[in-house]
Amino acid sequence: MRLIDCLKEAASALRQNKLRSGLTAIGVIIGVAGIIAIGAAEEGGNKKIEEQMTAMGAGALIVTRNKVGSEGPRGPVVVLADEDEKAIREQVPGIEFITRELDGNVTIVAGNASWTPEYWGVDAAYADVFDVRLAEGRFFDEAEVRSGAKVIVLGATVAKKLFSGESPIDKTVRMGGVPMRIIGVRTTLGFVGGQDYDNHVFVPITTARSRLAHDAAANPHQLSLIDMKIAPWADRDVAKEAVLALLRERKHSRAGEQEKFDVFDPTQYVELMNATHGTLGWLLGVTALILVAVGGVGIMNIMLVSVAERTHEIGLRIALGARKRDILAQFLIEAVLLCAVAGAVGFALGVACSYAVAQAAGWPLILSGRTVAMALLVSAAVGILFGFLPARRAANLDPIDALRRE
Amino acid sequence: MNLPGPILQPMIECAALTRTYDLGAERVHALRDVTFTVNRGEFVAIMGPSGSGKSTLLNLLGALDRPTSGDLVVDGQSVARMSGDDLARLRNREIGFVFQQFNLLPRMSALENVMLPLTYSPLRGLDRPAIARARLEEIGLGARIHHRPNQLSGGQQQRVAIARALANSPNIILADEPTGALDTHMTAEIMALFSRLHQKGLTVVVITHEPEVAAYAERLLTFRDGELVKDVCQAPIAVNGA
Ligand SMILES: Nc1ncnc2c1ncn2[C@@H]1O[C@H](COP(=O)(O)OP(=O)(O)OP(=O)(O)O)[C@@H](O)[C@H]1O
Ligand SMILES: [Mg+2]
Repeated sequence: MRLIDCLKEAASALRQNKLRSGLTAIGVIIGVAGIIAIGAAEEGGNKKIEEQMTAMGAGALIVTRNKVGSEGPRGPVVVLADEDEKAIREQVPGIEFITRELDGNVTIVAGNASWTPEYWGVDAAYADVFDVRLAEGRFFDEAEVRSGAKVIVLGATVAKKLFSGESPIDKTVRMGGVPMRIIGVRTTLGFVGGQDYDNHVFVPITTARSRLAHDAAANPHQLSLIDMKIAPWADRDVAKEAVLALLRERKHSRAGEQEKFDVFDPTQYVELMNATHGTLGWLLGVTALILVAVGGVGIMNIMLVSVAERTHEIGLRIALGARKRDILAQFLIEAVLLCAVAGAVGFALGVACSYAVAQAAGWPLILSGRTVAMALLVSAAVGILFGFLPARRAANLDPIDALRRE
Repeated sequence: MNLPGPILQPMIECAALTRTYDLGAERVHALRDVTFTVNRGEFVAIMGPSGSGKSTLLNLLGALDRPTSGDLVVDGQSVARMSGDDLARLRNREIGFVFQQFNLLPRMSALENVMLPLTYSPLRGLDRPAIARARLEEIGLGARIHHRPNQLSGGQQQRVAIARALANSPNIILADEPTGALDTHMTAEIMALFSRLHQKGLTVVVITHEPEVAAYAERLLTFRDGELVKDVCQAPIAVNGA
């Protein structure tokens, strides 16, 4: 029997029981849609993470004041100061860019609107350390830092809250009473680990010290963080160890004891924050596979019913000259066709869901060849795997027995 | 009787053909030691009481079953030693089955039913709809080719079934009580059809319980308890040639 005849037969047999075929296909449809949706979410999410990584500074190292993830002792002691930044800059090899950072909260007023984001007082090199991209305007330069210029660069959330869509460039806002001129707006980074990464503003560290920080008078050289970018040619682990060693020497602390500072890699932080994303995706993927398998069992069941119903027909076909393999092919192709149609419907459903999810989550709709191939392969495999047993049962029927059955 | 006819050529040769069914406790001897030969172009009727082994024999002749012992040669090929695929090919190319219950597939039209054996033909490039249409026209159903079985009378359905049996131009027609489900008028029509096939040179074997049906054949085999008990030649009922 030729393939085209088998396909025609299979299509006609499936059409004969439209409702039954449709209901049976649901399991596979949902499973395949799930695989597509999860695959797309995974790829879209990864793409987004990649973007975040770049934005947060792939290749950056950050010196913090207390261990990340633990509440270290925070006393009046100055843990990080300008001299530490200077020492790192001068003594640790392989550092391409370095910036001081002094953070705080401040209320910003623009006309009738007000908003209280974090301010990050930094050097001009910050833009290089974290590869800051601007939606509008520019970042401040070294001269502005030196002179303590009253200029400000807004994060995307702040710009939206204060100016709701209007361009804020060259407008003046009041920051804790100080008038500041807006010179730039940063591009959107989105959420990392549930935290809004656009809810901050940048000001020159000198301006932050003289105008914004409340305790700056008491500790004029204090820093919140020191951020640096390792040169592409340097080994980041070596550089990280060198920074740690230098700081330990300066702070008279030893490796292992409770340290008042830490050096961490923001890309690791992104990975950590998004680790749940990966695990969840994996779990959902397994669930989708299980769904497809359950759908496959449904298909096997309905194919067994179909073989039982058509026992007489099978006997007749054998009497008319069908070989075992003709009968096997007929039923196998019927199962595969059912799965293929279910797969196609599931595919369409999956793409529609992925599109909706991508729109909601703000990541690109990416359907990689891998995801599509996976969905196609899985539905074909289900058809062959679960169609085989019923098809073999049909092929092994005794024609005389089968013809006696009605 | 002594006229020089065509050289007799054996079409079906049974030698000590035996078929037993093992039912655990007991053993059913459906056929015992049956030996006979049917020549090419013969029209043979098989009679005998219920359970005498007629259908068992026909299933063996039709290569649907294999003998427990003995030998069976159909058109020069030894059925007992053939592979499953070769048996399928033999059924498809050499044999046309006609059943008591017609056995048409209800979801298919007359034309599609007749095309069925053609789809299993090993021959490539057949114009299957044309062949099927020609077969249906030959038996006078040219106007009914797109009817479904349930839109046809019993006699018409049996004629579609005969057209299907003829689809691959077989040498042998095997019919198991082909008129069992038909009234007297239809029976005569169908038997006349078999007579014409015989006159065209086909070998025809028909199982029947009715002497009127057996009367169309030129030879009558009688079975009892799985054994061939009588093998007689007879003058068949005359039927107008096709
Ligand atoms: N599959 C089987 N298993 C066991 N016994 C069988 C089987 N098929 C047939 N028989 C037995 O073989 C014997 C011959 O059966 P068969 O069907 O050939 O009879 P028949 O002459 O065709 O009868 P009928 O005129 O009623 O159709 C019967 O005794 C029957 O019970
Ligand atoms: Mg019988």
